[in-house]
Amino acid sequence: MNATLLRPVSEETDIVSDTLLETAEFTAALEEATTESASLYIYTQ
Amino acid sequence: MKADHVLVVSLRKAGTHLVKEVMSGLGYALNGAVSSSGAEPRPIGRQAALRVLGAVYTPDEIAELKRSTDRSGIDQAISRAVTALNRAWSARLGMPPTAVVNSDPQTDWLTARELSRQSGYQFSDTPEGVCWFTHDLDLGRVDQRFLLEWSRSDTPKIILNYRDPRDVLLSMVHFLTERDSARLGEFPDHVVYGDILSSVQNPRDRIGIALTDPDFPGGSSFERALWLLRHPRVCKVTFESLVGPDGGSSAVAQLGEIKKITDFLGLSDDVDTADRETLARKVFNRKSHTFRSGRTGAWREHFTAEHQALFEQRYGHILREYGYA
Repeated sequence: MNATLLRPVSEETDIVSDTLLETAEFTAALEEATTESASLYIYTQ
Repeated sequence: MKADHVLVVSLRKAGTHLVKEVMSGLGYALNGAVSSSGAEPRPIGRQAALRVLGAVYTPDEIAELKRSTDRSGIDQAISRAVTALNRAWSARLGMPPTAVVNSDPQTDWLTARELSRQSGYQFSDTPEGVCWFTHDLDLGRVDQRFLLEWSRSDTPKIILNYRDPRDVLLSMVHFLTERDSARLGEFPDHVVYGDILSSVQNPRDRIGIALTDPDFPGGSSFERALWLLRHPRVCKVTFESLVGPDGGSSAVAQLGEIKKITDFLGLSDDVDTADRETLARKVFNRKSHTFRSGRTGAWREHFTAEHQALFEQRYGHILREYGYA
């Protein structure tokens, strides 16, 4: 792994241990994650 | 404090689009049995994204994602997790399975795995700021853990929306007879009964079918929702009040209903009278997919004396329970 892409995970979640690291790509993907735009029932236009 | 998670149980043809406009206007993203066409994807934030990942993936899978530098692969994994969690909760809430578009085997597999969990899941794992819509919350089908979570934490806040059952029945007959595929959605029973009603020429006979067929869409939804009507922690709103002056109600009743919702959702300090008036002007939306006439009391023009007798026989107690007798 490229060390420059890594940063420590904060203690904000209990999902993943503090000792794990995450890539910049993972961090960015989390920040930009969105809700689904589609409804359960599909209404055609 | 604004409610993070909301579930609207809006009986079919009871004016779901009215509540949708209110909830959308209050800033909630929409999910479930409501059209969200035109809605932009809403950021869910790091915390919620991590929670969703934790709900759907194993610790090893998450660790692998965290080590990945493949941005598109991570995006896809997160998107699949959001979809899988939403689908799993749709099933847990008892929503009927519908045809799914844009699916992929991996998402289907993740959904199945999520649904196979016997413990450890909770509705509050879903992203905040989302208002779910369903037409039914059948005590016999809804996940028991959901009911326990709601009972213990009051999450999500539940709103019941209903309408005069006679107008609901008539609206459903019209809706199905018109068979506009753009408005029928993917409700399996809509498709079936659309075919049935379209084969009947006499409009009076169509209403007769709706009044006597035990499987007619929405035919038993009022009975199944009685527990919601009676429950003290469920906010009840009606089509007749929400529709406002454009639909034959009054502005006062409409604003009162909107205030009831905003107070219930902890928005009393954030939404003032002017905000509610602005919201009220947007509620009556003729562009809604399911909008037809938006009137109250139209059943009087279509029900014969025989229809009224049939209705009283089958639904008389419902009229009284819901306050329409």
